[in-house]
Amino acid sequence: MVRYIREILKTLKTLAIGMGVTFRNMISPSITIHYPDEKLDVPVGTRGLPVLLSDADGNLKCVSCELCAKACPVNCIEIKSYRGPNRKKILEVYNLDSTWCMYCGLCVEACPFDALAMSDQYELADYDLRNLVYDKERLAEIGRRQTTATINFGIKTGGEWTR
Amino acid sequence: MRDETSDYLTQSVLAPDLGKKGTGDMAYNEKESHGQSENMNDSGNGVHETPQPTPTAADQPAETQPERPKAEPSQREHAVSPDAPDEVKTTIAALVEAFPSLKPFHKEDDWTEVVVPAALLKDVARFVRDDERLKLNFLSSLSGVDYRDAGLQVVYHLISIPAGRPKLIMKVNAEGGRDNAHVPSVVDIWPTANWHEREAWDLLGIRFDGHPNLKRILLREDWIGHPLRKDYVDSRPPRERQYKETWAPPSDRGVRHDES
Amino acid sequence: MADSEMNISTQLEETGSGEPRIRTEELLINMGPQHPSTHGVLRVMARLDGEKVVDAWGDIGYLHRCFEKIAEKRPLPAVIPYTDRTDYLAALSMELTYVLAVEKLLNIEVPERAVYIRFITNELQRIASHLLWFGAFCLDLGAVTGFLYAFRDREKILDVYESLCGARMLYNYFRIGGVRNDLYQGFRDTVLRLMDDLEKRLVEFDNLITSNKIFETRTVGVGVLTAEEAIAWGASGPVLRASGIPYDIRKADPYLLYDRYDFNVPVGTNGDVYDRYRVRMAEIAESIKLVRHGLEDLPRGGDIMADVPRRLSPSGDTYSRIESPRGEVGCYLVCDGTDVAYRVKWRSPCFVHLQLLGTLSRGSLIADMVANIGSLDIVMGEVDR
Repeated sequence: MVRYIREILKTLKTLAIGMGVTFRNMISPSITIHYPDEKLDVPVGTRGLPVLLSDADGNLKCVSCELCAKACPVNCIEIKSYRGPNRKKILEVYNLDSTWCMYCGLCVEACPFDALAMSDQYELADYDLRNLVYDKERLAEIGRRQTTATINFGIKTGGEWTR
Repeated sequence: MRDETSDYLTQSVLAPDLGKKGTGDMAYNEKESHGQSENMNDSGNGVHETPQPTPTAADQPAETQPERPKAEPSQREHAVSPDAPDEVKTTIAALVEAFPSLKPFHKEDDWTEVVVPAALLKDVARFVRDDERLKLNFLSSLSGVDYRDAGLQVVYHLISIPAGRPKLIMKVNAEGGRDNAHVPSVVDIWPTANWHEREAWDLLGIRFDGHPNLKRILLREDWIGHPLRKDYVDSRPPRERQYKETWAPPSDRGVRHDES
Repeated sequence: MADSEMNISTQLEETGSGEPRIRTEELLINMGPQHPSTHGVLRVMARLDGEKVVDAWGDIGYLHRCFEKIAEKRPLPAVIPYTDRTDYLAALSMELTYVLAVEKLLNIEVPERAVYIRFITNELQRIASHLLWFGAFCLDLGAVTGFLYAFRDREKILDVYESLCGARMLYNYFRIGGVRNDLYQGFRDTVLRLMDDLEKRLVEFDNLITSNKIFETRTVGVGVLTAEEAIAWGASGPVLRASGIPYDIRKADPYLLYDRYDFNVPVGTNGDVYDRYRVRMAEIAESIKLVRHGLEDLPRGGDIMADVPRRLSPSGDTYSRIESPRGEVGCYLVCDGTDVAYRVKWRSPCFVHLQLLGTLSRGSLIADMVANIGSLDIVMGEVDR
């Protein structure tokens, strides 16, 4: 009987300690972010959609060497180029299938010309599967929004979302 | 209370793991589980997604893959270099003493490697587990490897716990050719081998004689072939990319579709 | 419940009223594949006698992607992102196992700074993984508060990872011969502050859960695993140590820097769910110590990548093992001189631990099975690979 009462008292005591912890946390400031309305600032280098970068004149830096396509583990990059005048390769098609892409960043690491970077675009959901294959123009367009220097193979694009 | 059909259904639902019934005391009922597995196959619930008869892994030549230099399971001389760790020397001495036909050698770090004939496997396994000098009570990993023409091999990584050493690699070449590769099961020696062996059967098609419940574990029951074999051909259609009509058409650059 | 029914039937028989009208029989139930307490798509089947579990076993494979086959088709460096996806809650441990195996075959000496970075991030990973386990385990037992607190603190570690590697879960950070990029400005201060914070949190968790009478009743003496059983069934990591066996690969077979620093290996006594919980919480404290040590001695500057040949062509076979938060992860790697692995076999602790389910649950109550599954710390991505 004494043991029983002691058990009850012990239970009450441990519960009180636990509730104390809960109470302290209750009055501490909330850290919840209400996501669609307010968004956390992601650090530079966050691996979102890989995008094509352009030089100061607005031309793509890509020289169609296809190293990114070869480095891609899921083969989601498709490149087509032709030999232009003076034997220079000209990029014709650059398709990035973001439904296959696993955002590992190996393509960006493979690029010897810094023509690719991981952007901070992470809201990539769409109603149409076909919109998720990004072509050259769309990738370059996002790449032109670059607001920071390339850090850890990543750039920031200023919080505008692709649509 | 229960009519025959419901009984049958319950049994077939039960079947996948009936063999584990007695796992606690390690007393397996081999016959029962085999009977159940046949029941399962007979019930043929017809979820085959690939109607065309897929060639079994064995009779399909490996055309789709580039030929590689054959990684022959090597069997080196059992010479112990003087700078080998002590536990390697002890292990080799103990093994050679008990089984003079074996040729254990120092592999790397403090691993000892030995190629064991399938016929001797059970004896060697029981010996290395029970021997006072070795006490290899922990089966870390059981891996099946497909060496193409050289046959299938099972690799056992054994460690003594809690000391963490000695450590032993046992390599067993399966008997019976590719179609009918057999290796004795070590479930009664290291119970943990149970699922490892089922996995090796599932993915590589190595039969473990004496296993209480040798069934597919990761793949569906009705899967055809053993995917980790080098000559396995995936019969599923390749996954197509979806493009917007106005965009560039799919190029003829090969789309890799060896996995989904 | 079963007992009372039995009593009725025996009474009926004793009074000579013929066939007993009430009889008991075993009931087969399915838990999962979609069940909140099975931690992924695990289907558990249990045979019950009343509320008592007669037998239980897991049915796995719902998440199977044949990672091992994929690894045989991709160049060696391109497999690293896939290793992340085996154990997505301790992705860096998985990467480390693979990277160590390749480096062993190629005889690559990793630069000191890279080793330190690997060491620190790996221990942080252990903390994050154990915190998540703690949260999920609390949830399994019905303590939602603990779950929220643990996730809040884990989130801070994930923030560090996001700044460091660009991702929160699937880091793809280790490379063959080093790491992908250097630490960022302020990493040391952030992590040190985080560790101070976490130490306080651990006390808080302790107050909240450890001594809680309800928690004790749910866990003490439940799912007991003896030392012999644990070894025979190949248990490793906290599950093995909770059964009283002081075996930790970090001590027995030191890799990275574990031979340089002193740390304790927490060991349980009874091998029940409660001990597994205590061992994991004690491991967080040890990991905090190790992270602090690593940050103290972290070389300032220096290479983070070794000179790795552009085209890798290892040959031979090797087996690398590390102590992941869940136990012993092994990678048996066979290479044949090309830049693609010939065979990769993944030894995942969860796959092995799941076999224990029957041993743990037999004879216990069905409600305790949830605690048992939770205490094994199952990650289905690793079980099914």
